[in-house]
Amino acid sequence: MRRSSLLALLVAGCAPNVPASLGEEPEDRVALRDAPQLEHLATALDVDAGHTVEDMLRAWASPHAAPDPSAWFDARESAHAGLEPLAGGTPLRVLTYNVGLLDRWYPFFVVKSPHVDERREHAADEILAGGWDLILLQEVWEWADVERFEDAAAEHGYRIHAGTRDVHEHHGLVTLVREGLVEDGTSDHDEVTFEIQRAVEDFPGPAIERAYLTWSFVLAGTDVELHLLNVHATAFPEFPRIRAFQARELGLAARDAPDDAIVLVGGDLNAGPYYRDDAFGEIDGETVSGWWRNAIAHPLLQYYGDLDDMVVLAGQAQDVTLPGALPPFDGDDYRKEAFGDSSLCELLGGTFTATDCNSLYFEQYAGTEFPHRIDHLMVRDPMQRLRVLETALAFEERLDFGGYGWFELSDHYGVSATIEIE
Amino acid sequence: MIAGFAAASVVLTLAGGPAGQPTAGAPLDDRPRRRGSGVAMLWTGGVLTGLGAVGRIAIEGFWVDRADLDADEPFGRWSIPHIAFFTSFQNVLVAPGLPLLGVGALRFGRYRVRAGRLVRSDRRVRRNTVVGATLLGTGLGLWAVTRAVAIPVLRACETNGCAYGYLESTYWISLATAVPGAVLLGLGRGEARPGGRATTATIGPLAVPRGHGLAVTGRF
Repeated sequence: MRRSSLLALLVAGCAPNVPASLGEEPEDRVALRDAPQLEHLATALDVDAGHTVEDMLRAWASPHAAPDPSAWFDARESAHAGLEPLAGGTPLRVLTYNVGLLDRWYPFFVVKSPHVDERREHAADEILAGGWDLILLQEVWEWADVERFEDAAAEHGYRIHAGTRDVHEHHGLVTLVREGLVEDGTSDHDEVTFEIQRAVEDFPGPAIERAYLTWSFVLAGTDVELHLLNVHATAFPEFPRIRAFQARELGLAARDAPDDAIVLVGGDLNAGPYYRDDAFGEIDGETVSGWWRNAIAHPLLQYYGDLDDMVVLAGQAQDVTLPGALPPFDGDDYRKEAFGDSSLCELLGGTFTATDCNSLYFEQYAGTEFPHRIDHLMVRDPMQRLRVLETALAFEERLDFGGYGWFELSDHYGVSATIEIE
Repeated sequence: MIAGFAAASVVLTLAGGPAGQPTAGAPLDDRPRRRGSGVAMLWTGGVLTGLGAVGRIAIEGFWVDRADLDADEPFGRWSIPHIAFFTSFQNVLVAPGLPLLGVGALRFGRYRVRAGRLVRSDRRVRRNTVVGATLLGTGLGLWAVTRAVAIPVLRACETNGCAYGYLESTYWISLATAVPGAVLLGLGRGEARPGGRATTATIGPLAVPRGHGLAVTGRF
């Protein structure tokens, strides 16, 4: 008998959920209580003295209390404030900014940030006209938007690195450096996709793979080797463990740079340093919980990368104090206006980069997320050749988009830092 | 993730009619049985193929309306696997529909001659066979070739108009030639061999270690 078969077969691969190298790095085997960046996690997790970083990542228990990094922040702020001022340093303005140009379809669904068509027309010129020297951008997903930034970079005098087109469309990262800052012949680029992913985000989801861009060069006129790492980690409060592993991988990459180099890490970690409440926000009537575990990636990145948060170094971290003014969560109130009382945005402003005070953020996530500082600038500077002079939020204001109305340039606020390098 | 389209299955098993040797114009039976006439198979194939075509139109509507794709905008290479995945939903209907149409037409062609409703004509047999095979071959060949080279073509496309235009134009031309081709070829072969052997066709779910699918298995 002759048989004919027509087959429709669909196969999806399985992604690993723990890094292959977990336990192999010396940093994995350090006890939480022996790592100053992680000590507050040990307290919140209520673990014994021998509980290592690897133990924490494997067990992935929920903290019993809000991990509070205040003591660590205070120590780093004081240490940085005690450094001698630099004589004749090179001042640089650094920006990290998630521009939120998401406009994707996948089978039966569309994910599109509000007003993306209007915003993408203005984003490149608005940002590059701001006078920053080093710019780390996230969510420039489409190659057409990269080309807009390339055109603007040529006009405003920047070099640009967006990775290769095929990979870029999955990570959406763009780094720009002002012309003249790069010593000729010293530039080196790369793009790295994280080992641990939320696989469904790529396929059949909107083709997103979390990654980081690297760009190293000698700062012109100095002997300082600068390493820029631009990152966008996995989103949503339900996936803190994936983010923790990505923070570990990124941190280890930052630590790989020579000790006499300066490493600047910037991007959207999708995790803040502090969450007052473990349960906060509602999605379809279900309470969003697990925020305390979302406070793990930020210290973990600093620990693995030997990094410092520039906002902390500048003495401007208010992550722990500000939420005290936040009213207890009430779904109905929080969905009506920011925090149930949008006048609180004045009081709660200046720190959180992902907040209902942003009209575009409110339109997408009203009353579903704890306001948090998830966009970060960090530095690794073992030789203490860098000073953070100040940090601030950027692009908080609403712009006039003509007939489309007034709204922010993105659903995130940017984070800027003024630094000085010896 | 594996799509769950194979959760429901349809199984058709249609036995062939009596294997007589009719004389042109002479009915074998004054009241020929409808069973084995291929009509049910033709209907099933037509419905499946039609639903597949409607599904394709719905997908195109999704791209134009909800996804708001503009022909002049740059084509996102990231979407190539998504397009393949998305369009597989309606191809799952067309893939069994087309052979069912062909086999149904084959059985209908036999039935008409055996039932005396059609006088066997060598000329018509030859014409239907040649035209049908040409159309079916052209349609399936066009589909196969255009899909085989789709990745480099799509990667070379700068705009949505280029990429989606390529995919959709070749899809509809393939379908519009393959469907009448399968029917004509079936009619021609059925008329040529009205007493041909029994045919069976079965559609059923397929489970393999890493996925699910839909299989059409038969003896034609």
